[in-house]
Amino acid sequence: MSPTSQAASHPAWHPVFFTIRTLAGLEARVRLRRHSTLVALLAVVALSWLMIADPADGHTLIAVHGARVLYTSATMALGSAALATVLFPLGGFYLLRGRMGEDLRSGAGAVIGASTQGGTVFVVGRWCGGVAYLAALVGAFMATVLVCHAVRGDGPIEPLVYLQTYVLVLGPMILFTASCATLFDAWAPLMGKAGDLLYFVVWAALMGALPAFVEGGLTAAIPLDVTGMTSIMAALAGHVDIRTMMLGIADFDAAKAPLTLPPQLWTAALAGYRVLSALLALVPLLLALPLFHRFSPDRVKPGKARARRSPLAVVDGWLRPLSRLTAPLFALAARLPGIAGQALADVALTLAAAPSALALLLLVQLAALVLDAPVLVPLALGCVAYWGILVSDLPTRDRDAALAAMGAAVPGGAARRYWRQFAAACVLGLMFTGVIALRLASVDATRALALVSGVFALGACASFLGRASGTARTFLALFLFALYISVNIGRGAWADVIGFHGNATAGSVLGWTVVGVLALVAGHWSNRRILPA
Amino acid sequence: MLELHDVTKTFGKHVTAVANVSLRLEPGVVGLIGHNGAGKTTLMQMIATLTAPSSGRILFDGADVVARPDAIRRRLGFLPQDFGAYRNVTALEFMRYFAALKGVRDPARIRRLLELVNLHEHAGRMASTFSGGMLRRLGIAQALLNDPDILVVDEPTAGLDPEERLRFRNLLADLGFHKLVIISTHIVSDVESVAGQLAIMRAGRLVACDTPDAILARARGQVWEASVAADEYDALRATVHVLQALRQGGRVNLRIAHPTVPTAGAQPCEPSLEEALMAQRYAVKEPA
Repeated sequence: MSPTSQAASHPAWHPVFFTIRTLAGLEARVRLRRHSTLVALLAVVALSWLMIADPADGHTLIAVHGARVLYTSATMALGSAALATVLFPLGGFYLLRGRMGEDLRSGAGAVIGASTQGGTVFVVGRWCGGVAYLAALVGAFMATVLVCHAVRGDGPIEPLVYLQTYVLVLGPMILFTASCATLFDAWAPLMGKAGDLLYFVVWAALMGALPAFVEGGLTAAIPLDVTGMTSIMAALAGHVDIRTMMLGIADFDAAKAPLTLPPQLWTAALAGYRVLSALLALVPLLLALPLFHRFSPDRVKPGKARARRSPLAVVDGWLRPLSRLTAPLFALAARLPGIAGQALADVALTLAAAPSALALLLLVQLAALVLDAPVLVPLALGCVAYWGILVSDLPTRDRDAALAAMGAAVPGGAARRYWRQFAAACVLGLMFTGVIALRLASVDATRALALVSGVFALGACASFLGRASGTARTFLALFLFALYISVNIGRGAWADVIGFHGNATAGSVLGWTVVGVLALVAGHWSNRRILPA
Repeated sequence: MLELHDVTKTFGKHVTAVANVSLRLEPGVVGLIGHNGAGKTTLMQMIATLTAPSSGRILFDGADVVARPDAIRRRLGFLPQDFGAYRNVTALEFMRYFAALKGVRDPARIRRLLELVNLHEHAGRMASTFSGGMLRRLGIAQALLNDPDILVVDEPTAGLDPEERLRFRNLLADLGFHKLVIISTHIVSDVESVAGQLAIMRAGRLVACDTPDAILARARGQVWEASVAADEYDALRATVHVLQALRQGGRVNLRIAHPTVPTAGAQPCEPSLEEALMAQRYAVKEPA
């Protein structure tokens, strides 16, 4: 039965709205069935329990001037919403992203493009599906927080307090994230990795602007802040001194009397501002409507046409002659036996596909040899950032190119492919950071070890997450987020994954190595389940 | 050379994709024929070591392929039904990559194979920009990199134009003089002129494995030609399996599969291989 005829059987529905509802329902279902959703859900559960610290351990969710704020519904809802509004715009975007690329690869895009359905209906349907999906994830997050409240809370669970806070804080954020994901999929130049990176810049800029919003008198900036963090601060400002407030895993002084937030933190004015934010969050969606490529082969197609539009692909096109340098690598790989040769082949293929990486490698080696040791640290950070982006799709490369079966029929099969691709990621990491680590070792051996163990752990996480979720974006989102947090948190050995701040200790180096080993084992197990060969 | 003993593959508790298949194959071209969902691709994937059988044994030159998959992988060329190309990688780099994965040390072989499939002039082009036919030719060149003793190709001519189909068939026939070439297809014309042996699968089971001549011989007397009036045609086709119907004026010229004379005036005729296969399928009275 067509949507029109189905709509006719539901007189309350206009056929257009019925189509949008059908598209949105399908989108939400497709996304909810993905492995990446399961990984995201597990991450959400783990993070919520980690961030809403147990006061018995000396940490709390919100502390003001050293005093703990009791875990009432208002505190838990506001605190958890503040954490969610940092995480979801980034993770949610990468989870939503890429559906139109899938349509292109599967050929469904051509069918959609040739259908009688208008582009607006399709884009809005996709956006609604994204909103429904993110709302479901936020719902799961809220359920986790409610369980956390039941275990660690100081007062009764008030579902309406949670609901009100989540709707006001996270509602506009969900709309914004889904709008951006729709725009970045609908406009051809933003469909590739360049779009992924651009959105990360947008997110980092939003996070970076928060202190300015908060210090700039709050109210004027509130509607512009789609994340809702400013409105959280404004809601709290009437009750506690936000200048001395810590949010997250905050230390507190048990000797100080705990504070209690009132159950009703939201004023009508703040709610009005959030409605304005929700309207502003729709701007990317409005841009997506006229920019939608409608799967026209002139604007998008798998391969050259799309690659040409990516700035990175343009640079790679200019540097294409450099890829000849990989010929000796391929020849050497063919001569090396077993996994060593195959891993080197994966290294060579990665560099051949990205000649800019070859150029950067040459420059990095030169810089690492001549620069002073203090400058090497930011250089290492840049190298790790580039390397992480470069290898993010290495574990899913065969699958993305529909070459999984062909690549599994070579000696070693699919089981070895997992290990050789991990080895290739590590070798590439050492190619970018090895000389820097050697130079750093003469000054600060622990920092050098942290760099190497960080590359190992990140490479293992890329392999595991790529294998388990089937998409490169799960790792990419977590990697960029972790890098951002690691650079911005100047304390704690554990947060200094690659030794950027010099806070890493032998214990943290060992810990991250263990994390890497565990990720590798989990990825191997996941790989065995998918392909027994 | 390649032996399959009671090979079965099940997915979950209720789906049996391949059931108790036993085969012994020597060098030559073997056509694996069956309808969509007959279990051909699953059987090919088990031979290519992509998936392990739920039960049964696969032996290649006496070595157990399930226990030691690399025994066959080193001597295997595999061309799956659907495949693509890495982004930003030229055809030459694509070949170098698979050569390295297979441990092929002779760089001249890559050039020779690109010439064999007529892609040498496009070696520097991005493989992702290739047409379907060019990509398939690149795929066969990749499959031949390690000079395989066994070549497994799944639906090899899908998406090829008639000229490329012919070229492809000839290439596979040449290879079949010395190697074992297993071609899985549901298009009989792809294999009828090149295969020395046909393995026919239906609902996961191997229902026949014979030479094309033997299959044709068995079908003789089961395929008929008849010419009926247009108004008789509707009644007739409810009772017999019509293989072909061609309207000419007020009459319909038919080719019919039936174990006995299907209608008055029908004459037995020489079946094509496809008709022979259909006639034998209908003879076992399974739904079409």
